[in-house]
Amino acid sequence: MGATKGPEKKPTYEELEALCRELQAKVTKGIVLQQELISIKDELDQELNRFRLIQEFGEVGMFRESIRDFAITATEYFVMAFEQPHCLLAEYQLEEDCLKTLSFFGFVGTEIPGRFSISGGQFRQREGFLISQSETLQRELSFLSLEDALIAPLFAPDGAFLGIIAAGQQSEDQRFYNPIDPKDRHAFTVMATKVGYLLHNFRANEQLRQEIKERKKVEKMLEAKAADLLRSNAELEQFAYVVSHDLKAPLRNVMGYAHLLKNKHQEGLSDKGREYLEVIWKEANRFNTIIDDLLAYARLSSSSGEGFPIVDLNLTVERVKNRNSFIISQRQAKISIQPLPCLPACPAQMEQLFQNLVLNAIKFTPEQRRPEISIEVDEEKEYYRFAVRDNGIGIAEEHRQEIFGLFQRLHPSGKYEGNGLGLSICKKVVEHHKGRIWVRSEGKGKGAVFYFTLPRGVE
Amino acid sequence: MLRFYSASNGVVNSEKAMLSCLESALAGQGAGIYDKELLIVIHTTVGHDFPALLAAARERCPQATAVGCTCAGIIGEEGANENMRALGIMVAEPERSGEFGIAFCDNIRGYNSYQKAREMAEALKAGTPGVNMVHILASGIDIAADRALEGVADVFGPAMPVFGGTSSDNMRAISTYQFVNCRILERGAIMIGYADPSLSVEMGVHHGSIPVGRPFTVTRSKANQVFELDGQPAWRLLMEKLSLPENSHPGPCIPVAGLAELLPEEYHEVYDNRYILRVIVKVDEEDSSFYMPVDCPEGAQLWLTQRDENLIFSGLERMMGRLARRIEGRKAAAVFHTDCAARGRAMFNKIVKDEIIEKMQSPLMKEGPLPWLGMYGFGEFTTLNGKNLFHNYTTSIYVLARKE
Repeated sequence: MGATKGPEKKPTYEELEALCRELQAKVTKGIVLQQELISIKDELDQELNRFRLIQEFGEVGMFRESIRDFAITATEYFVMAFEQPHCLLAEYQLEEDCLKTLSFFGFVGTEIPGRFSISGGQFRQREGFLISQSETLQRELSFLSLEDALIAPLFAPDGAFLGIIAAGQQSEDQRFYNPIDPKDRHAFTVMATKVGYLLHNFRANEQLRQEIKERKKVEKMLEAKAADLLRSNAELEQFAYVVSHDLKAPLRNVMGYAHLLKNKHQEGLSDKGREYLEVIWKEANRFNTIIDDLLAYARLSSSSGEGFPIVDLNLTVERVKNRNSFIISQRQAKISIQPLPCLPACPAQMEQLFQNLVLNAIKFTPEQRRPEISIEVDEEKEYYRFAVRDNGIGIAEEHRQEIFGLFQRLHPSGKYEGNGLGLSICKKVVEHHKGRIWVRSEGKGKGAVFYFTLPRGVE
Repeated sequence: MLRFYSASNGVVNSEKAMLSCLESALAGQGAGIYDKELLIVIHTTVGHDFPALLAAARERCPQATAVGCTCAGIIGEEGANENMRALGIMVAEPERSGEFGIAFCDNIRGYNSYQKAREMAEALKAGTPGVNMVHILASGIDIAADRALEGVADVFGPAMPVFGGTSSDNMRAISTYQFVNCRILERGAIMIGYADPSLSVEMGVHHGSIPVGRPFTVTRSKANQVFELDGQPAWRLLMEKLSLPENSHPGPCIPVAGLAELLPEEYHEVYDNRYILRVIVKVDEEDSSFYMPVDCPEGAQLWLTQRDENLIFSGLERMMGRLARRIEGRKAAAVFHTDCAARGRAMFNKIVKDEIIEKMQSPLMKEGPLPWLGMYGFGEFTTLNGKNLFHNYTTSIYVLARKE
């Protein structure tokens, strides 16, 4: 016989009431438990956010312009990461053995000294701690009025003490701020370590930054000066060009009338008159040459240095020789020429350059000496170096720079003809071609060598 | 015609935070906009240096009217931020003067809420003809919100839409603050009247909590102060049921000590719930009574509540659907948004919270960004079925839609 199931016993009202109470208690406990879980999740969210901020601070702090910007950034990031209303960053000053306030945040109405002392030897380890853990520090930092705060020492990578960072609450803040969780000191230490290293780098780089800053300043100044020079050069050249052009017209009239006098009215003049006329004629011609040279010089500056054709310098020098064959044969000058290259250049300017140098060599060779001129070339990686060597009077060392200046003449005008523009034009031509010109001389009477370089250009 | 611009940030330096918000909100509007007679609505968490915030706003926009309040977190177009220093602003640029007006009062309490609200409404009506919606920002701890709404209705009529919220702190329920230009009030209330006939406000409200267990019966109360539940000291009994100490401050209890009250039937469908929730932010330790934000007559039944995550999300979708249908054919010009402080990090983790906000923003921002200013406050003013009501524990959204 199987067991028979008895009639179901109905719960009494009291039993149901008790059951209800039990269930109600479970439900309300569940609500509280659920809330606790949410709080834990929220804490985790905050922790994650904090490490994200620490990471971000490392990236942002590194690129601050100045130590002040860096310190402001550091205190602001501590406020964000630890949700504290106040923060102070102070740097240790070795010479004065005190701390210097670099930046502070949120201390409205609290007087923060620029410098303050704390007793040494408190920071034997890197870990951050609650201010309540150090009575001495609490006393020494009492001016901050922090009731609850985290403090961490800052160290350089080599262990040198660099300063402190503190973040916390004054009593008034405690209405809204929770007491600092001692667990936060770990993250605080991590961030303080980051600050220490960045501060160390900042200081180490400060000298470099200063040097760079000064160099930039000098560069700027030089740039401004160069711009000024360029501008005044351009103005000067423009002036020379205009003046030369304007002088040409009246000069042409003077020369025209002098020519008429010479050809048609010479007989009517006395000997003295003819002598004077000859002087007028010669001086007018000299003036004409000066103007031509000035024009040439000015034209050099106004022409573009781009897109030169390839010039065969052998032909150039040949043309120079032909054009000046009279003077060359008159002085029985011996000109030896090495095979010269072809390179991108302005043909007219190359002729001018070689002509000026050759005529210069002849001119400055004493009358009783036969001019011996040699034109040589050396091939370098990016340029050709030319030399125009002579056996002339030479140049004293102290004049080697000034001879390339405008209207520079080292000798009284009667001794050697010329207007002091020839070598200036040479310099301009060479520089116009992005080259360099200089002169060497063993000394007076020992001849001279004019060197110049011209870029090889695209082969 | 009012134009709106918004921005929010978590910059901790208060001056920089305000300047950066203004720059960001008004970017591209030309330098001249800073000198216009703008309205700046400010929501900030309690960690900010309020005088510095307001001074920065005044300096940058000298002709502007700045109003605002504290909250437990701000919600901007950029999302939510509940840090101790979070700031959100909405700037309204009128085409001509008189398109908005403000009125404010200090020392608003439970017993004088009707009177103060009425006086403000009268001042607003007199100063700004043509107000077609009222935005309230009021102290979250002391106000009797239903009385305040009556005060507004008696001046503007019951059909005047009222929206907004009550200020909060960081859920401690200690002090909340309101701002009017450079004044900082602790028990103040502000009314902003918008007088732009091209705009109307469409609202959505939802909570997603369900009552649990047996209800408490209010056995002794006076107006919004509840002395006894089930014949026992009200706060003591509530704490006992929640296994919390009797001397608990109401602030931290907000997430668990919310009470549900049965709603009249006509609101059930539109509210998507049969129960309206009430928050307790003030307790009288002497007699263990607590204050509700609305009147709570003897005999009323109050339930403890529990969040229902499914209901929260599905209800939110339904709410946005209803809202979209009401906006249909119009363009949203700006969105104000009040969420209960308890719906921030106290109740939801970041992922859930972000998802809730995304579910609200994304349907409204399909055609591009929309000026958005929200806060986690202690309570929400939202119209339900044509009646202005005060809510707690809800997400309340107010879309200012432009008529074609």
